[in-house]
Amino acid sequence: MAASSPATGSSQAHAARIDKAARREAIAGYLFISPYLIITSIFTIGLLFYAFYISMTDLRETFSRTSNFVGLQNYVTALTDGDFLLSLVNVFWYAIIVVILQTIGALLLAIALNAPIKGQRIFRTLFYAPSVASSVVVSLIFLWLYIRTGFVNYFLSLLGLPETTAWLQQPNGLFQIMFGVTDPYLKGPSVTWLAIMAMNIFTTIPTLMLLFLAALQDIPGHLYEAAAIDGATGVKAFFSITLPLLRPTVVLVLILGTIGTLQVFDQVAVMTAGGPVKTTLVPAYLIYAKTLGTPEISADAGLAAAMAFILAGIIVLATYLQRRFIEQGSERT
Amino acid sequence: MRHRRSLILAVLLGLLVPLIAACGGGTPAAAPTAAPAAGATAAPAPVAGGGGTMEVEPNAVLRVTSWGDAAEQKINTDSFARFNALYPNVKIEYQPQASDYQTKLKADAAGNTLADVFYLDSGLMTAFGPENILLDLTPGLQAGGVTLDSYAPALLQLFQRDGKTYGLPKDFNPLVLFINNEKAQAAGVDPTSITTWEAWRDAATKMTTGEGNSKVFGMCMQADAQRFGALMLQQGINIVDGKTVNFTDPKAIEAVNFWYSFYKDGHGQLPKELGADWCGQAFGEGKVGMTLEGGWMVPYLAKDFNDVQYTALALPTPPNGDRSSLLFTNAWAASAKTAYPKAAAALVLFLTSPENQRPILDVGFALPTHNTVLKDPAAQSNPTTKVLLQAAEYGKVSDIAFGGAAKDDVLKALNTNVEAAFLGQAELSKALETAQAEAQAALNK
Repeated sequence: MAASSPATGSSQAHAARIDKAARREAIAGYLFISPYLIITSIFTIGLLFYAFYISMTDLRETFSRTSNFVGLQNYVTALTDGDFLLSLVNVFWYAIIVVILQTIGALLLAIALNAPIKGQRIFRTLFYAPSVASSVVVSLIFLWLYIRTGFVNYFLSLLGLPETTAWLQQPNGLFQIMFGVTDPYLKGPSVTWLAIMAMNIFTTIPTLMLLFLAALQDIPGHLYEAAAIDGATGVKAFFSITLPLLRPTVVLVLILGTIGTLQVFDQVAVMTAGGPVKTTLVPAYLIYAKTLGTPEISADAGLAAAMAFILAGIIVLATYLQRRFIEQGSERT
Repeated sequence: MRHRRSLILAVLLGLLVPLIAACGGGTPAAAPTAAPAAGATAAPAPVAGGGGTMEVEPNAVLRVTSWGDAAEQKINTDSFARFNALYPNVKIEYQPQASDYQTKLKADAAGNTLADVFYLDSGLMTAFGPENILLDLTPGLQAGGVTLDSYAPALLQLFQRDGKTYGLPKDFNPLVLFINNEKAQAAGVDPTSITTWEAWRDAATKMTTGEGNSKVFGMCMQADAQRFGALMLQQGINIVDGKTVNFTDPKAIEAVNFWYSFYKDGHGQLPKELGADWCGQAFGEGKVGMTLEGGWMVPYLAKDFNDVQYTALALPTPPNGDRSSLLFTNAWAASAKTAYPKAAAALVLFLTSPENQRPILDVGFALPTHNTVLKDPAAQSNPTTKVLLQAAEYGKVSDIAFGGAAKDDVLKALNTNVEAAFLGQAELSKALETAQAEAQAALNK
């Protein structure tokens, strides 16, 4: 590589030494990442290719010995499959409502906990607690809170609402209740679905709060002092200083939230299995059920793989749009 | 400096992970407790009691799996103990799978880790049957000198395909009505008087008491075709008649309507909404007065709710209707890939033999599939077993009643749409029309 340069013997030796050292360093680097690299290439990238192949076959049961190549047929079937379209509508509502509410909630909570109040650390620990529990455990707890004889109804009865509701058995959609729309695609999120959203917002807010809290502490105090001299305090300071400086964190929280909500699975698998009347059926659960087959959903592994790639495409698109939209917004200010 | 220390820490932690994993999961397989003398096991073990023994591989180890709660698991471990009395050199590793059984078995089959011997229902039979996953039991039956006509033919045929026998029906169960005596009497209802639909509705109304969270419901509900389907049969119609689906028959609609009326009138409730996993639990906990279940209730109640006094009755009959019920059956089967096909076949044969079915009948769990036990007058001694046996005579096998091979799709169509009607998303007659169309499409495939 040093052939074109008029190099003396000693400098050549020197270059070779540096070269050797660099190579050794590179090898050490590769060695360090190799466990991760090997596992990822086998279990993630390798399986990704395999899943893509399956999505092009008519494999029904995962243990079948025979399958035929059918090209993009499964993708066409998926996009006309009533269950899949319904699951996309359901997860759309879920993503919109959960992401917006959890971002606002986390921001407000972070600001509250950033204020110099007594017992700040205790509150931070307390509020973070729900995020530590696994989502399956939280789902099981809420399963019991939401039943007819559960705590939610007890609490409502204390408020003078004696009627007991089976929260996880309410397929009535929001627009169905408000305007009488009965079409399953247009009736809006069901009461059960909203109940699960409430649970998810409750458990995700603390994690996101932590991100906001860290970002808030990075904002230099003198900015507020300067603003105060200029006469901007309170709400004005929040919108003029805090929010613009939090923009990268907001983008992060929105993107993480969108990816997380579009992939929602545990809550549905534990609490409703897609019911009642498919109003909580989401793509991730449908893909799982279609891969192995459940009493409610028959197995079709090829179709499930195609659905998984469509879902991945939707997530990439949503992330891209968010970044573009919000980053363009930041250039304007 | 700080960086280097954290790097060292990270490396150390990285090293720890596999170490911990090794400690946690890597418990070495337990050594066989009784070291069997190799060679001697190859010869047939001495015949004990009435059961014959077959020649099996020496030092066979069989992994066995099944669904079932603690009561059912005990029935199986007792059966294995009886098997081991005859075949002391076959080691059984029992790994029950309490929930998501079908999903688990399909995943195991895909991953080549299927157990050697397992429960097989007709749904799994449909999935596994054509895939060379199940062991053909014909050689085992020949070696054991067992003829297929020993088993009730209507049950056996579910597990046969292309002249091969892949499973032997282990037992079966009809649906009957379980009534909580105490609750019935408190409501002024004689449990034995619930013999017609009218008396049934009346009893459910009277047995519904209390308000709010402490409300007790007369009837435990399930939006499940494998419950209300029995009521359709009672109307004297076939649910699936060859290639024709009969959901929209006025008599079928009447049956589903009757079932739904318990729920609609507030005299019936779904177990989930009562904080119970299934109707048996809600019944045992006294949250409902009546439920439609099978013999599996008997050992379950005896174990977990010993103080509940109950009466089992044949399904109450509709006006101008017939006696009928749905029968459920499952089989024991073996994996085609087992390393010990002879031992696996011997276990399946023993588990479904009269020697094993008789003690299970005494527990009251399920009815025998073996003719010699089924026709034994001693079986009639227990009042609940007697009711179950009678229902078995006029009941129809659920898997066949719902359309045989297309059964899963037919059930799905019916369950999904009727659930929607139960939860107020569709008119019941409209829901049955949709179900009819979906099920018909599945049957015509």
